[in-house]
Order: sequence, then C-alpha cells, then structure tokens
Amino acid sequence: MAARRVINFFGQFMMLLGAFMILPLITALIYDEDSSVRAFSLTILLCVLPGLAVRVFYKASLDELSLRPRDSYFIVTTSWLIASVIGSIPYMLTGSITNFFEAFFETCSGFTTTGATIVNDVEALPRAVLMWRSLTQWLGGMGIIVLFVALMPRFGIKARNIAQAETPGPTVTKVTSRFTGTAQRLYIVYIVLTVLLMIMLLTGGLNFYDSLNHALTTMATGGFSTYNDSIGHFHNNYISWIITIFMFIAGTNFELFFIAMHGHVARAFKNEEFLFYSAIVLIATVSVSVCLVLQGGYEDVWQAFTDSAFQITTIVSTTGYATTNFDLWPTFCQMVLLLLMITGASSSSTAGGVKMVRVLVLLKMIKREIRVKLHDNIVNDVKLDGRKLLPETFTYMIGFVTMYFITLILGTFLVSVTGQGNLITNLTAVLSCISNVGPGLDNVGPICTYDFYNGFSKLVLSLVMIAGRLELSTFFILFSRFFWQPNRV
Amino acid sequence: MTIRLNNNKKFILNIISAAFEIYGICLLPCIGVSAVMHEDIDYFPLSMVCLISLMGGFIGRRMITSSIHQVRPRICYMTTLFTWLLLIAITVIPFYYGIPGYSVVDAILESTASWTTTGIGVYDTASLPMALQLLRSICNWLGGIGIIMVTLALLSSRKFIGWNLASTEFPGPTFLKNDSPFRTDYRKLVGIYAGFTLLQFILLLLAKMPPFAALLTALSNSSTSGLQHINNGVAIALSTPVKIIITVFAFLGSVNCSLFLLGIRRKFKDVLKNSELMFYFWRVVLTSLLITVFIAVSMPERSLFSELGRVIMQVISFVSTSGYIITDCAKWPPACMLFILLQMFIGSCAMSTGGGIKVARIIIALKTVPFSVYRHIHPNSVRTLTFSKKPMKSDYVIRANLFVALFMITYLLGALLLSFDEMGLYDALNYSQAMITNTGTSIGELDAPGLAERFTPFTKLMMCLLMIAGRLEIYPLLMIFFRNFWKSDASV
Repeated sequence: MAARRVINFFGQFMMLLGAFMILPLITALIYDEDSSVRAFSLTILLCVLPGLAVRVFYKASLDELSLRPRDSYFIVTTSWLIASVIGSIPYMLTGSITNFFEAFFETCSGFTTTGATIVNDVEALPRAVLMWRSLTQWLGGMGIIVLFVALMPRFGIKARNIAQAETPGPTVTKVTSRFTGTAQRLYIVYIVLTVLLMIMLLTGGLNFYDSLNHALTTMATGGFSTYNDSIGHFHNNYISWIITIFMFIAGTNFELFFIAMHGHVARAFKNEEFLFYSAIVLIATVSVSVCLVLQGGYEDVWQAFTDSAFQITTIVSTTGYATTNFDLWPTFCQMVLLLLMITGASSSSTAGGVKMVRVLVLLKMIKREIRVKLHDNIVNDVKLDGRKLLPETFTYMIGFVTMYFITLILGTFLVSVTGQGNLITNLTAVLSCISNVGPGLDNVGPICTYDFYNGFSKLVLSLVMIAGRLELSTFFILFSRFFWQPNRV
Repeated sequence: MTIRLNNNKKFILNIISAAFEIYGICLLPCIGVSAVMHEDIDYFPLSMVCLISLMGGFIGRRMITSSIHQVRPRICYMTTLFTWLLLIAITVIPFYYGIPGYSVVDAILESTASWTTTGIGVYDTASLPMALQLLRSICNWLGGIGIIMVTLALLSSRKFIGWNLASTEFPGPTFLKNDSPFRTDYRKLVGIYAGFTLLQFILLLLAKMPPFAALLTALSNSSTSGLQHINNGVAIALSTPVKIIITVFAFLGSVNCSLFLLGIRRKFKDVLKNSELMFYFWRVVLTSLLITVFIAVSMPERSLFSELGRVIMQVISFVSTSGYIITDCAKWPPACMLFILLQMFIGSCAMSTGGGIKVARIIIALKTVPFSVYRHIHPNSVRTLTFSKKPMKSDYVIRANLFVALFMITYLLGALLLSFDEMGLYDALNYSQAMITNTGTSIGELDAPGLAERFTPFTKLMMCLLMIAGRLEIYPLLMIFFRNFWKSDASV
C-alpha cells in the first residue's frame, strides 16, 4: 500500500475536520460558553498540528506509488473511524458526555446520520456542542470523503472509486466529465437545498440557531434535534410539513437534480426509482392515516394525515425525527414503519437502508424468476430505466440484501448477548442503526434513548452504524483475508 | 356429451382425479374409527366426502385420460397448486360439519394447517372427535411427503417423466443425478417414508404408548407437523423413551430424503460428504450447546448433562419445524429465543418434510456474502462458488439468494397483514414466522402454543395463505397473480 500517500491523506483529512470545528467555535463565542471555547479550540489544535506536521515533514511526492482501487476501501473506512474518534473529543472535553464509548456512539450516530442518541436531556447541552452535533450529520450526509474530493481535486486518488465506496446506493453515474465535478455539483445542490430549508424555517417563526440546526440535520436525513421532544416541540403544522417535504427531497436521488437542471425535467420525473419511492411513500402515508383514524384514536383526519406523512417520510428517508410517539400507534402502523426502516430511500441521496433501487430490482428479479419458472425457455431481461441489468449486478445486489439481513441478525445477537432489552427493542435498535434511522420501537422508541445499553452494546451499535452507512461491503472488506494479502486469489 | 379439453387440461384433471382417489381411500380408516366410536356427528360428512372423492376420482381418472409425454413447467405448477387447493377445500367439509361451533373460516384454518403440516389448531385439538384427529394426522402425512408425490408413486399409468411435476411440490436442490430414473426413485421415497412411519408406530407401541395415540404420533411426527393431538403439542409429560423416539424420527423427517436413496444404493461416503447434512448436524449440536451454556449461566441449579439432552430434543423440534414443546423452554433466557427464531427461519433440509428457507439455500447465501466481498477486491476473478465441492452456476446462486429474500419479504408482509388484528408487533412477527415456516408454534407463547381461537376471521385466512405459501415455497402461490400463469407458452 502506498503508505506515504495514505498518511498524507489522513493528515489533510484531519485538517479539514479541524476547519469545520470553527463553526461550533463561533457559536461558543457568540453564546459565551467558556468551556466550549476551550474544548473546540483545543480540538482544532489537535487536528491541525498533526496535519501540518505530516504536510511539512512527510510530504508525498507525485512519483510515489499511486493508490490502487483497493486502497480506497481502506481509506474510507479508516477515515470514518478517525472522524468518529476525533469528533467525540469535544463532547468529552466539555463534559457533556464523559464516557468515551458514549461519546463515540453519539459521534458515530452523527456522522452516519443515524440520529440515535444516548443523551437523555439534549436541552442541557451547551449550544456549541449541539451545533457540532448537527454539523457532524450534515458532513456525513453527503459523505465526508466526497466532500474532501470536491474540495481538493488533485490529490491523486481515483475519486470515483472513493465515491463509490462512500456514496449510498449501488449506482454512481458520471454526470460531468470528471468525477470531481460531479462531487462538487452534488455539494452545490446539497448546500442550496440546506440554505433554502433554513430560510423556510426562519419564515415559520424559528430563530436562526434552531433553523440552522434543523436545516443541517434534515438535509442530511440525520434527525438530531436541539429539543428533547424533537420536531414535536414546535407544535406547528407548517414546520412539520416543510420538514416533511425536505426530508422527502433529501431521500431522492440527487443526480435527478442535475438531470432536471440540464433541462430534462420530464426525464427526472420518469426515473423508475423516483416513481417507486414516491408511490411507496404515498401508499404508506394513506394507509397509516386510515389506520390511525380507525384504530389509533385520531379524531381529526387532517391531523392524522399530517402526523402520518411526517412519520412515514422521516422513517423512509432514515431521518428519525418525531412529532408523536409512534411507539403507541397501532401495530399495523408500527409494522409499516418497520418495513420502511428496512427499505430506506433512494440511492445517491443522504438516506440509508437497503435503498429503493435495490428493492425495486429485487422485485423485478422475483417477477422474472416467476416468468422463467413458468416458461422455462423464455428470454427475459430485467431492465431499469430502459437499460438491461447484467447478471453481475444481480450478484452484487442480492449479495447486499443477504449481507444486510446477516448483519442485522448478527448485530441483534451481539446486543442481546449481554441480556439487555427484549427482542423487539434489540432488533429494532440494530435495524435502526444499520439503516441509519435513529429511533426504533419499544425501549428505543422515539421518546427513549439508547442510554440504557452497556458499553459493549454501544460499541457494537456504533460499528453497525458505520457499516450501514458505508453500504456494508466497504466496511466488511477490511475483514477479508484477501484484502490483506493482495496477491492471494 | 363431449367436453372438449386440450391435452394440458386433461393432464391436470387426470392428476387431480388420481389425487382425490387416493385421498378417498385414505379417508376410509377415519370412517371406520367414526363408526366404531359411534361419533355420529362426523360420520355422515366424512362418508360424503369420501364418496365424492372416490367417485369423482375414479370417474375422472378413467374418463379423462391424457396421452401427454412432455409437460410444460407452467402446467406442472398449475397441477400442484390446484390439487392442493382443491384437497384443502374438500377437507374443510368434515371439519365444518363434524365439529359443533366451527365457522367456515375455522374449518379452513384447520384443514390448511393439517395439509401444510403446520401444527396449529383453532381449539384444543385433543377435544376433537377421534375420527377427525385421525383425519388431521392423515392429512399431515400426505401433506408432509406431498400428495402429488404419493400419487405419482402409486399410479402405474404415469409414463411421463414425473420429475418436473414432483419438483414443483417438493422443491429444493437434489443431489441425485439427473439420469437416474426418477419414477423408481419416488416410489422408493414414498416407501422409505411409509417404512419410517411404520417403524415409529411399532417403536412407540413398544414404549407403551396407547395404540391410537401411537398411530397419530407416528403419522404426524414423520411429517414434522408437531404433536397437536397431545395436549396441543405440549409433550413435556411423555416418558423419556417416547421423547427419544419422537426426536429421532422428527430429525429423520427433516433430512434431505435423497440421502436415503443414496443410502439404499450403499453410497454411504456420499451421504457423509454431503455438506447440507453436515451443516444441519453441526447446527443442531452447536445451537444446543450454546443454549445449554446460556441456561447453565442463568439457571446454575440445573444438571448440565440432562439439560443438554432436553435442549437437543427441543432444538430438533424447532429445526425440523415440527414445533412441539418437549421441555420447559418457556423458561429459557430471552437470548436463547433469538437462536430458536433463527433456526426456525433456516428450517430443515431441502427435499424433506420440514419447512423454512431450507439449509441448502442458507449455505449458499452464507457463502455469497464473503464471495461478494471477494469480488469487490478481485473484480476480474473467474472463481465461482462451490457446493459440496462442485462449482455452482451464478444463476443458481442468484436463485438461492433470491428465495431467501423472497422468504423474508413474504414473512414481513405476512406480519403486516396479521397486524390488522390488534395483536402486538412481537406476536405479529412471530405468528407470521410460525405460519410461513410451517412450525405452528409462536415463540412468544411457548407455554400454550398453537391455538388460533382468538383471532379475527381475516387474520385466520391470512394465516392460511402464509401456510400454503410456506409449504409450496411461495412461488406457486405468487404465480396466480401473474398473467403469464394463465397464458400458454406460445402467447407469451
């Protein structure tokens, strides 16, 4: 492995992280929080000094061995681990979270846009820390490495490989001629939408601080809020609907925005994944609101529809806010939410889960299988957006789904082994972490936290979050013996 | 009067008639029991159904002869599906008229549970009339090996290659060579199955079980249906020798039956080299050991050795998807439930009477995960996956994985349908699983399993659908909803 280059990469990566901590530092200065000022300035120094040292004393020259595709997996997974460790330092220095495992859990939950928290009283935390907490989600949403590639194009890494290892979903298409361009454009769309959402929230009566925080975590489909009762705190249907719409947008494929920007609006709307995603959200919302009116004790149909739309979108986009305690909803609604936690939203969005495109292809494959079973000599290709899918793609897709369920089962087992929580709690906790949703059901429901788990379970859940965020294979590759012995086949 | 039927329709009707004829013959013992025990209430419906089946079958089989030599897969699926649905439908009649207080839906559930070897009843099964208990067990037995399989084995007139047809009912990868004459094979299979049942009956008699109970146990247990006639499947009170006999035969019933054929051909080496059997065996051993460790930690006062024995018996009950309760597993630590849950999903071996995803598919799925990681590292590699040391086609790998995914989807959607009934999420998931794996025992209710009395009619019907889907491995039931199922090859 090109060690010099990799170390250089990590050095610069840490400097980038340090640079982003300036935002919470400013918040700390504005709100006059002394401990936070100390904590963030110290962490920034901790990040920047090694970064500078590497840059000055250990600089990689261009004739150095270049990075191979395989190295990108290592870089991405390790960067995420580094980011999660560094990101947890401010929590510990400010005394917000004293235990390392808990701080690590909270940071992982941030960067992976999960939104699961161990903090029982969020409102008691310093504002700068809350700002950092929201910012981690925004950085993780589109991918920190993709951001790095967008900002520093000439690093000598095959940007496309890295993006493939980090961007959610099986498809990363080249929209511009150079991938760096694509990364930059993805971020431009992301920033524009975030600013737009912030302005909308400001017009809804939120103050600047709340608007910024919620805009950051909504666009990242993260789900951290600055209030204990999440979006329910505002008791405002306008805010609920604005956030619902933006969560839905955050769950769509961002490449569709390029296609639309290039004037092909009709083509963007005809995208099969988008149609499937919209249909699922619509069907789920309607059926859950009907169920809420019939069984859930809702008198007001519009309120039932609002709550159901918000909750369905927040779960399907793997955001994980709450306006009501859906743990008390009828079983049917809970089951719908459970299913949506598994599916997740579109590929190349900020959402987690299996991804709609995989579910769609899976259903198409089942349909094809039935046709082939019935008429054994039929020629039947599976097509997506008019393009024929290769058997190779099937193997990857189906392998992913199997891997997803195996990780889910293994995670549930590891969390259950210490005897905490019942089966539904543990299963939904792991499911929620692997899909980066946030809340689960029962003891990890929307009004509960993950605080009651012990250190081991928290560590397992943190790793499950990272594995889920990196689409499993990027993470599990590091455990393969073939990875460490590159010449072995 | 002439009915114009094409060859395919003739073929389907012919097989259905034959199946009904066999079913009619199997009903005769029930009528006998009913007459001897003076159970007036079910005597008439049973005789009626028997008469209809025998007459219809006899006439149908002779009037509609088919001279078909090649059967398209579509026709095979149709035959299997219609045979099953019609037999389930006709079995509803004795349950409906024979048990006072049963609604039609109750009778449908009872009939479906019997045929799909699920081991769930509406009320306490032990309180049913004896003739109907026997009917349940006979349906268990026929459903376990597959009515089509029995039909093919007993009818000498079938000249076509029956493999296509049998595999729609008895799916899963085989380890038999394709050139083996399948016709003699399925005869042998049914013979082995009947032999095991007889042997079990004799052994149970020797272990001092009353003859009628021994007969019911032998019939139900060989087909891994569970022991519904004994206190609703709670068999804790039985004597140890009986428990051991039950365990051994439940295990045998859940092993890939093509291995018995290899055994008959004295290819014992092949049997032992079979990776599915080995996986299955070690899975039982390891699961039992792990559960015993958990029990030892949480309940140190128990004797480890005798506990291990009891755990093995209980684990076999679940892995074979029989689902009877043979020890006090309701008191086990909660973490053990996760193992049991998993084992029920995996189920028994392919081509056995058990249900679940099947061991062979799980082996392939488990191999796919490291393989896809390997492909990420070496995208251009030409290495393929192997099964029992033979390379597998990628198409085959995809199919096995696809079934695992389809099974999970059906399970989750099943839970969604069941959740209309106001049961908790845990119960909805568990009942969906108990139905689709044909176990019949929800792990949420281990002390009093297998009673569907309190559910709404809609839930009961959904449970029936899940049971049939689980028994026929989902695809045949799913096919009804596709236009292709109703269209001939030429018009596709």
